[in-house]
Amino acid sequence: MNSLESEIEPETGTETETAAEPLLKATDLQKYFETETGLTERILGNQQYVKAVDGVDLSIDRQETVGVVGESGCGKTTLGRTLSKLYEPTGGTIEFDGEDITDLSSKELRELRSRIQVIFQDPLSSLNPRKTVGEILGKPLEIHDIATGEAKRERVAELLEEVGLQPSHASRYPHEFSGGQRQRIGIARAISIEPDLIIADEPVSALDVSVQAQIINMMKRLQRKYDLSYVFIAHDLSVVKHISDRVMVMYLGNIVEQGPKDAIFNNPQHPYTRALLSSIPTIDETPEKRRTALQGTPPSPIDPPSGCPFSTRCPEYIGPECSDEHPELETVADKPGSIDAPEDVPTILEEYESPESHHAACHWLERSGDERWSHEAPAIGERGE
Amino acid sequence: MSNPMLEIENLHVEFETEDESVQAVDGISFEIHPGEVYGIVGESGSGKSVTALSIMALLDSNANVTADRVRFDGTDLLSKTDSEMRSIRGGEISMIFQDPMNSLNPVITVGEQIAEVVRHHGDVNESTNLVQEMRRKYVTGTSADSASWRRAVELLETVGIPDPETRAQEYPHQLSGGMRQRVMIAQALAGDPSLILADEPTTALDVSIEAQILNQLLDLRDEFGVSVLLITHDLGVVRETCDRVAVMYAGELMEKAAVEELFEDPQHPYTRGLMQSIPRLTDDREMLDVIEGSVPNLAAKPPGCPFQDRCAWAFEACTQPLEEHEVDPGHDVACHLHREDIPEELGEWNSPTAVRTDGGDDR
Ligand SMILES: Nc1ncnc2c1ncn2[C@@H]1O[C@H](COP(=O)(O)OP(=O)(O)OP(=O)(O)O)[C@@H](O)[C@H]1O
Ligand code: SF4
Ligand code: SF4
Ligand SMILES: [Mg+2]
Repeated sequence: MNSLESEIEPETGTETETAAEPLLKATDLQKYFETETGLTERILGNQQYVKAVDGVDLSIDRQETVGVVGESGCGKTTLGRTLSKLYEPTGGTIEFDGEDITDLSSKELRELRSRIQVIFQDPLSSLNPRKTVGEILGKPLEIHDIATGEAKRERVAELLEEVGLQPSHASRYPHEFSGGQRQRIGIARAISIEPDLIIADEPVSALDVSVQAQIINMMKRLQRKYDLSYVFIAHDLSVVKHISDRVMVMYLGNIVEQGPKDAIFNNPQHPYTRALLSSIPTIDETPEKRRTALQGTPPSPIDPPSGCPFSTRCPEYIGPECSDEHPELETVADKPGSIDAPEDVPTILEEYESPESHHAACHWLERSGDERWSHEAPAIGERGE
Repeated sequence: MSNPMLEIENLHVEFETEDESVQAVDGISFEIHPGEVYGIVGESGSGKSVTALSIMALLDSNANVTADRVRFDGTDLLSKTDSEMRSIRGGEISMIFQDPMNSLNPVITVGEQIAEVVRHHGDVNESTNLVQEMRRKYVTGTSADSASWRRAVELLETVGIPDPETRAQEYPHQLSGGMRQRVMIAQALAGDPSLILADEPTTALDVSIEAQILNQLLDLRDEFGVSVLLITHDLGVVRETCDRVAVMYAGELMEKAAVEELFEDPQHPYTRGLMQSIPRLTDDREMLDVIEGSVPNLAAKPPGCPFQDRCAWAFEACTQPLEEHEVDPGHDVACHLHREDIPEELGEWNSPTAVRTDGGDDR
């Protein structure tokens, strides 16, 4: 195994590295799944696809945390799995540290695994129940040639302490731990081989409030210590805001808005982001009633709307252009149609100037903010196809 | 004040396992008034669901339930026989669960599942004889054109399901998660209940669907005057939905208050810790304030306050049995800091800025 690995020159790429070069860059990334289709349909060429990720551009800088939010089924998990090459992309390219990793061989993939790690929502299902924690944490150290024997045992003990567990826990099995402790083990395993990037898919969603806070603080501390970049996938906007530098909002396989977190939370421009922010339950204030700016449920990703993906639910729908033309991500600051945050969204900055890196995909950007404030969208049933 | 719809006094639930006995609920008391949404909020394992299941007499046989009082609308539930409880369940008291797939029957249309409850608990004068029931469920699939079916369609409409006639004839797997949750609410309403026990009814749903469903629940309360016990782990849901709330920890109620008061003026170190540990949209903290440690083992709780190992203010008295202190009318706190004779240096605990965490580290 080791001889195989040594054939691959580890491409450090550090000499060429500049501040501007992202650690990971995806261009027009697509991941489609085939739906179950009968044989005749397939022969007739009627195979249908779930467009789980449908043309996403993204970049992640070194030591940066990029949050990905959206409703269930919007493609967050699929995006994370495609970025980490757990899924083969259907289209587009992925570059990691300046190198194209879209079509890596399985040998090269192993090298990549030591640099990109994944943390899952349910740590139990990703930890082998028949292995002790010591074995679970020790294995990657051996595979990636980091430590064996006594050195390995020492490193495992260090890792356990690093995530707030005890060295003596090494001899226990995963089921003997609480959910929060298991997530600590999952994190210890992810950092054990000192990766550059960790893709965390809903890492705290299954945990209790007080345990969530412990894990979030720990992830922040480890990020500084190990110079990590995170892709943090979650549906909880407050958590994403707390941990992220930059945020991407996903809807039906598309990024509909992205930018520094202050832009997304203080100056949201896409109607979906705005509605999502309005519907979060909050302990900050007491509205009469929960706001329900978002009606209905997302359409099927097998047959998404032809124009704007959000057009079937959008509370700010303009007209036929929304149903016919797919809006592209544009720089908000260059456009006439940007407006203030909705009144019911609790923000902390009174005024906010949108930076170049704040993008949204909505036809309103081309129009005027004044017009947008006074606009009344046609009822959902009265929108053209 | 009107008589309570539900009165619970000193409820204990103990589970006997092979080698230990677990105190899942440990002496809790609360009451719910007519038309009130009462919240129980707590972390997983704190005993929220067991509380609801014990009221419904739905616990496994290894559960030992005792209480000084469990009264529903003035009648004692503890002395009811199994068959009496069966007719109360789904009728006067109904329950909504977190995962509708576990409580809806996958091979019966959703309309028929609601219609069945209508026939058993409502007054539509339709036979509920076994042969008839089997025929409706498994052969015709619907009992369309009967009063119970029409009522089912009406209920689906009430809970906001579009095109209810068509949806009523579908099976649970054909509906989205949010729609299944609505079907459960419709089913819970079918027996014309005075009390609904809702156990994490929206936890599995996205915020946008959650908002729609909680609003629906509030509308139903306004319209029909039902009382609701809403169990959740989400403080935001409590603040936006409940009238009064109890904070549960390790089988005990730590603090009970009107919702406004609890959030404006929490008086228990655990409640405060919880509120400080959640990230908010309006905060700019670099690190969250963490409650150290984890919940105690319910088979070996320390004597006295169950929070003592994690409490930054714990002092000698905390190993003594807890009592409730009424700090304001209707605001009860089970914590020794509210005794008259606390040590002087602890006096500062109640200043609004007093935070005793090491603010950042996670261990
Ligand atoms: N292996 C698969 N085969 C077919 N369809 C799939 C597969 N994995 C995901 N999908 C579909 O792709 C879409 C996006 O799924 P994904 O799991 O990425 O959503 P998500 O945002 O992570 O949702 P959640 O928050 O519920 O986990 C969904 O419609 C889902 O049903
Ligand atoms: S493009 Fe039209 S439908 Fe899409 S988000 Fe903007 S206003 Fe709404
Ligand atoms: S009783 Fe003691 S340990 Fe319990 S919450 Fe109050 S101060 Fe803390
Ligand atoms: Mg997911």
